Amino acid sequence: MDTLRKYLPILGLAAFYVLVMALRKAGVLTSYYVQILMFAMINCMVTLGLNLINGFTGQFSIGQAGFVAVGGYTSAAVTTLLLPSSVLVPALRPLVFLVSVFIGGIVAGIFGYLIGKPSLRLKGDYLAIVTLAFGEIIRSLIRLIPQVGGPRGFSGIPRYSNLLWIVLFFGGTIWVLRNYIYSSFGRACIACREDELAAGTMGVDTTKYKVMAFTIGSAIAGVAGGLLAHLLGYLHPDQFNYLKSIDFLVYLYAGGAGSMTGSIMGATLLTILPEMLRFLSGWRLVIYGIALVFLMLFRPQGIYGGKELPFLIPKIRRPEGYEGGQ
Amino acid sequence: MRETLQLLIYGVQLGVIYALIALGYTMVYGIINLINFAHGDLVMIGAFVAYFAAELLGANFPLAIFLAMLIPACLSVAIERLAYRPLRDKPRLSALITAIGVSIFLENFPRMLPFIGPNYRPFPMLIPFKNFTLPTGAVLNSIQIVNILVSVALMVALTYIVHRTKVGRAMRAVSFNKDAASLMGINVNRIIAVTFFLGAALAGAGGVLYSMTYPMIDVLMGIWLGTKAFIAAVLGGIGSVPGAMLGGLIMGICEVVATALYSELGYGSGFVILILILLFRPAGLLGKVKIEKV
Repeated sequence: MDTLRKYLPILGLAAFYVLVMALRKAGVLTSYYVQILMFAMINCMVTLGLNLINGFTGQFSIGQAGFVAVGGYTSAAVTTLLLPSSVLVPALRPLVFLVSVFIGGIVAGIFGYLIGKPSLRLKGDYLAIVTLAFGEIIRSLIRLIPQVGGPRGFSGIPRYSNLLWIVLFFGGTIWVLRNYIYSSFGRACIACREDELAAGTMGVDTTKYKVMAFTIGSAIAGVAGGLLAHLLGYLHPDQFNYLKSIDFLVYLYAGGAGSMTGSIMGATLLTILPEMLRFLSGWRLVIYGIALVFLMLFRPQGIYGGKELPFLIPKIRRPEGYEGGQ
Repeated sequence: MRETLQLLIYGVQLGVIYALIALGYTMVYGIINLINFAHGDLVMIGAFVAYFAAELLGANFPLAIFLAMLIPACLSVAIERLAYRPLRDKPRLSALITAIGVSIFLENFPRMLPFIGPNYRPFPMLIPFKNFTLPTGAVLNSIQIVNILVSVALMVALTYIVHRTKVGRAMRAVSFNKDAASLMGINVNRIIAVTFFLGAALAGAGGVLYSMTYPMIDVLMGIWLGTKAFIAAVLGGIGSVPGAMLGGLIMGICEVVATALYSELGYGSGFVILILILLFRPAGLLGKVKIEKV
């Protein structure tokens, strides 16, 4: 039973992949729907990363699109400028893609560290403001780099991403974050969220954990950016403006901050919903705005706030004969 | 020298507008700790009110700016009542998401109305355009003079309200400590509504002055204007009224100078300055660092 429970999420993801591919083959799902699913999963990844920062550590980052841009541009630069697909044997391409996505994640993580280090020492909304500014500065900087297209946008990125890669990275993100959140590190993060002063008094190095959470969240956004770049084949600085960051915030808080299930649900629903409402043309955004207000008025904790599906909570291993509380 | 002065004029002209809009952000943040994302869109509404006032009632500047202040202000009070007040005791971020929802609504609803629509519209001339050459050689035009005079007048009026009237004293008391203010017999809900009213009135005026300077308006103009004004408010120290004025001026002048140096630099420059200032003065130029007590 325990083994089944342990591998259930992996089986679930595999089943999901097989199902989507089968439906695609059978012609039930067009490539348009598969594309939306892939976008939904990428959005889930960014939202999950943001959830670690905003939901579990109680900080407030509102420039997540900036990190997606850093990761996307970096990994696209690796596969397009450094090792273009024309000089590679086909067998090497997935490897280069994998490496480039990780480089994108690492670079975004480094940026996250550099930004988090000075601004997370302070209490209050400084991280929010600094990340907002960072998102805009990155956009201005990208415009100044002609090698990646500058204001014209970065085109000709090989389209390496496919459903399999995205499902793998999506599963990996959930796995990493689940293990992080339910480790002593994660508990320290939650302690910072609940009461920073008390956490500090109990010996938690609050700055360290906040910076760590922020770096990991940014790195995940960078990885998602790498996948996005190779899915779209084209990047433009304006794709990552502050409205994009706001989208991720909306996914997070509509789904429910502090719950991985909530992030996944929020990002998936709110990626698919606007597509389904396309027949309403411009009115869909009007409805979206009103729906958001009503959601927050009647369910301020979000759809799934504070709760978690059981398979996202790892079973706690207890020593033999352990008795007592948590 | 002549060029410097000319740039300074442009910078001040833009800066006073940023300052007007920043005041609304700073007052709302000071009183209920909410980053009011919908504030930028009230700027846009102000501009459109003035546009329609000029279309329907003729180019009458005092009337246009009066309506452009009154209507967004009433709208803002309604938004506060319907969307923010029910969430005041809930987690702070719920109100923030609500503000984003309101902002999305305010941008897209006018877009779908047939008489507004998504297109850019030329903003009518509300005052006659005239150039004046200063003795140093710099040129000052009538719109710049009106912009600066109206903004300064409004800021003086706001300072007077905040520091010299009963309502202003109540506002300061509520922003200092809501519960204590309430115990002293201040109607906190009313004072918060007044704050939203004043902030949105200034935003509406800012929208008109901005549209007179850059006479193209559309439903999304509030987004970037709002973001920059918010940055200006943070730069000066969020929650501080003189800080917002100073921050607005700094933002305006920096943006104009950076754009003059290299056109692609203009947009990012304000943000770089913001980060530099926050590194050395985390509470902004005129903000106070709050000491946390257990």
